[in-house]
Amino acid sequence: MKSIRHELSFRLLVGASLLLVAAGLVLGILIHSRLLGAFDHTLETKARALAALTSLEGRYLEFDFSEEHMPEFSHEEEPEYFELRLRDGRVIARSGSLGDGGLPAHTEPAQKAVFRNVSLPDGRDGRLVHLAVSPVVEMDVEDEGEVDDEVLSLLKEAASHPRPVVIITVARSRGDLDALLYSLYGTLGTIDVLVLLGIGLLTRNAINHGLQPIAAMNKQVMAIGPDALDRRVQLEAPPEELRTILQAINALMDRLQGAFERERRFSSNVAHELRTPVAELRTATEVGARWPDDPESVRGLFNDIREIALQMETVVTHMLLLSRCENRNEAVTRTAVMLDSVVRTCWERTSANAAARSLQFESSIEPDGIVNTDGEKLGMIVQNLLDNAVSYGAPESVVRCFTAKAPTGVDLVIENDVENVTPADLQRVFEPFWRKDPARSASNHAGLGLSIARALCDILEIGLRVDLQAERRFVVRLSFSAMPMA
Amino acid sequence: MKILIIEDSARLLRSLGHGLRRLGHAVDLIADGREGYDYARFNTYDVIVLDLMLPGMDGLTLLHNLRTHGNQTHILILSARDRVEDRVRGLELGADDYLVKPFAFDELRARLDSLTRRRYQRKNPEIELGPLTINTAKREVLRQGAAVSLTHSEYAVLENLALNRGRVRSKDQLLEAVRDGDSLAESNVVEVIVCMLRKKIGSDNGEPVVKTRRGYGYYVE
Repeated sequence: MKSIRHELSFRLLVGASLLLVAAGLVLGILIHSRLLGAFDHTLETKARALAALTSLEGRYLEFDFSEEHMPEFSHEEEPEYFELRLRDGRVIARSGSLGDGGLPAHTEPAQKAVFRNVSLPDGRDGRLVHLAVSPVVEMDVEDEGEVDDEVLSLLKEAASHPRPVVIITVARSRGDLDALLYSLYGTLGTIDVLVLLGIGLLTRNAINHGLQPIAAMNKQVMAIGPDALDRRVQLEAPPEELRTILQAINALMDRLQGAFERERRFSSNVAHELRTPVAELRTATEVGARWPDDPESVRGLFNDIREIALQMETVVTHMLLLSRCENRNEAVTRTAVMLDSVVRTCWERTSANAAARSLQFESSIEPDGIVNTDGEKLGMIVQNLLDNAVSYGAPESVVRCFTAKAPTGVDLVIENDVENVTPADLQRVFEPFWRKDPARSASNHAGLGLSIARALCDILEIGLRVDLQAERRFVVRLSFSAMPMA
Repeated sequence: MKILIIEDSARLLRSLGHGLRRLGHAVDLIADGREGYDYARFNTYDVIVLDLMLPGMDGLTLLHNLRTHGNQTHILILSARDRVEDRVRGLELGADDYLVKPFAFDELRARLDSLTRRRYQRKNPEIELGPLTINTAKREVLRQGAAVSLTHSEYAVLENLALNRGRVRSKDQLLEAVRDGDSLAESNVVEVIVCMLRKKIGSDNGEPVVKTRRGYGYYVE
C-alpha cells in the first residue's frame, strides 16, 4: 500500500543522497585537482630550479648542482630524483639517489611541463615532470663592463646560435599526496553518511510533524462509528492544504449522517408499515382459528384481514412504483395536456374525502394552461398532491389550485392550510413513509404519496417545490418548462 | 387477569381483545396514548400492553409518566420497533417485557401470564387450593384430578382469590377483575359468580373453598 510517509521519506532521502554524492564528487575532484596542481607546481618549480643551474659556456654545458642546497635528491630514505638528458637521450646528469638507474625518458621537447605518474626506482608510486629548457649562455657579469662593444657583439652572436635542448626530469614520491587525498575522500564520505543520517532523522521528524494533522484527522475519523455520526473532524489551526479536505470530510459526514438518519427512519417506517399489518394479520388468523365458534367475531376478523390485505397491496404497489420511478424504469409518453382537465378529474376522485373533512376547493387555472408531458403520470402527481392536501389539510379550510406564469414556463400551484407543520418538516415531506404524526395512525396513507410525486416529477422533468407561508399555508409548486409541443 | 391494551391499530385491538377475553381475561382496549395514560393511572390492572407509536402521547412518554407517578403495574411493550436500542430504552424506562410485532398470540399470552405470576411473586403456574389445582397458564381447574368447567368470570374470580391467597378481596376488587372497560356491572354480579363457583368447585372437608368475610368480601386460605 502506498504511504505518503514512506513516499516522502524515500524521495527526500534518495534526492538528498544524490545531491550529497554529486557534491562529494565535485568537491573530491576539485580538491584532487587543486592538490595535484600544487604538487605539480612544486615539481615544476624544482625542475626550473635545476634548469637555472644549467648553463652554456661556449660550447659546453655546465650543470652547477650542489647536493648541499638540494639535499632531497640525496636522502637515504624516500629521496627525490632528477635526470637531465639531451634531446637525443644522452644523460647529462642525474641525482645521486638514482644510482645506476634512470627515469623514463621524454624526447619530445615542449615549452610546457609534462607530468605523469610513474613507478619510482625504489618501487614507490611517484610523479614526474619533464621540462624542456635551453640553457642560458654563461656570461661573466663582472667583466661585462670591461669588454668592449665588439667582444660583446660576438658573445651575443654566439648566444644567438641554436642552443641544445636539455630535458629535465624531476620525480618524487606521491605517497603523501595520495595519503592526503585518501584521507580527504574518507572524510568526505564520512561527512556524507553522517549528513545523510541527519537528513534522514530530520526528514522523519519533519514528515511526522507535517503529517500530524493527517494522523489527528485519521484518529478522529476512525473514532466515528455508526452511533457517533454527529461527530465532526476538528483540528486546531489546520494547515491550508488540509482545510479544504477537512471541510470536504465534514460535508461528507453531514451527508452521511443525513443519509443514515433517512435510512434509519425509512427502516423504522417500513418496519412499522409492514410489521403492524403483519401482526394484525397473524393475530386475527390465530385468534380466528382458535375460536371459530363465534361467527360474528370470525366475520369481523375476516373483514379486518381483507382490509389489511388491501392496505398491504397499496403499500407494495406504491413501493414498486417508487422503485421503478427512481430507477427510471417508467416509460414517458409526452402529449399536450390541459392542466385544468387534470386537476378537475383528480379533485372529483378526492372530493368525497374533502367533503367529509368540510374542505372547500377553489380552482383558477388559465384555459391556455397546456403543457407537454405524460398526462397519466401528471394525473398521478396531482392526485397524490390533492390527496395529501385533503388528508392533512386543516379541517374546514380551503384547497386552492391555480396557475401562475413563470419566467421559464408555467407553474401549477396547490395550496392549503395545515396544522403543526414546521419549516423543518419541509425537508422531509418527500421521504418515503414520512408522516408528521409519529404514531402513523391518523389515516390509511402509508406516507408514499409525496415521494411518488417527486419521483414522477423527476422523470417528467417537472420542478417540484414545497413552501410554508405564514406558518400554516402549505404551498406545492409544480414548474413546467415552456417545451415545444409534441 | 385484568389487562389494559393501549394500541393504535384498531384491527389489532379487536383481535387481541377478542382472543384475551376468550381466555377469560378482563380487557380494556384504548387506541390513544393520553386516554390510555388516564386509564392506567386511575384503574388497577394486572398487566398493561403498550404500543410505542401512539397518537396523543407516545408510548415511552406514557411509560415514563406512569413510573414517575409511582405506578407499579407490569407493562409489556408491544412494538414494531425491533432495534436493540429501542428495546433497551423501553426496558430502562421501566417496562417489564418487550415483544416485537409481528408476534404469536400464544407467546403474548404466555408472557402476560408470566408477568402476572411475577406480580404475585409466583414462579409456579399451579396453585394448590385444598382439593383444587389451578393452572394459571392453562386456565384450568382440577378437583382431585378431574377438570372443573368454569366460565371466564368464575375462573377470573377464583384466580384472583387464589393469587391473593389469605387476603380478603372486596366485591369491587373482584368486579374489577371481571369487568371490561366501562361496562356497567353491579357488585351483586360478584355474589352470583361466587355462588356459582362454590357449586362447581365443591367444598374442602365440608368447608367452602371460597369463604365469606361478612361486610368485607371473600377470601381463600
